[in-house]
Amino acid sequence: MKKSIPILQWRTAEAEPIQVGDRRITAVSQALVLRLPFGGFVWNRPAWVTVEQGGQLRRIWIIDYTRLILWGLGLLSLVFGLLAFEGGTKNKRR
Amino acid sequence: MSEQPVDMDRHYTRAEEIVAELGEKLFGAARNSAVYSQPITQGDILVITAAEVVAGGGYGFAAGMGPRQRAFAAEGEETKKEETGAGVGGGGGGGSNARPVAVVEVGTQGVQVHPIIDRTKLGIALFTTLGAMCMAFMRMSRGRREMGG
Repeated sequence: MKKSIPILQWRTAEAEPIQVGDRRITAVSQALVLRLPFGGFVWNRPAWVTVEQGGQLRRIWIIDYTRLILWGLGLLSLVFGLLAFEGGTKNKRR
Repeated sequence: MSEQPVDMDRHYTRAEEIVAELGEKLFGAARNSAVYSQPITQGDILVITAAEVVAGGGYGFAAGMGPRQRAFAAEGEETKKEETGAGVGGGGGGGSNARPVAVVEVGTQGVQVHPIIDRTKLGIALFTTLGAMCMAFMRMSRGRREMGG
């Protein structure tokens, strides 16, 4: 029987752990996969690094500052665009 | 003159193979190794680069059969029509983009993540935002002036 593949998937994948001294490091990525009958889309990003040392597990997040700032600027543009639109329509009404 | 019949099954199989191959390449971007580089060791420091990968693509193929009426007649014979005709076609397109996000450094000081900021991208976005803000201000102040006058 053919196994059905979901259209939209949110995957978390771990790389092979690397041993550096007494530390064991595992890089983790997260991917959004969209499968369509005529193509698809993949967005894969680094998520965090797991550090295992002396029996303790620590997670270090990888923050994409470029994307955060871009989203911020995008939102700012949207807010100003809406304000301008609102101001324009109000003036017309008066 | 005789024509070779079009082997539709063979064409379909080939098209399906191409689609599967393209899909494999496209969805290969979802692997962990597409995001993280191989570790590089320099002295006591180990470095791994991390990048964001975006890939997309589409493809399609189609086949059709229909009458391709070709009239032929020998002298003194009635005109006959040969009804054969088939075609298979396909195409596709796609692209991918990778952007460095951070560098993971493992050294004597511990594990550190150094972010990489794409200044060019941010500069372009900043100018676009400033442009949008200027236009908004101009539109608002023009409206006020019209009301006052």
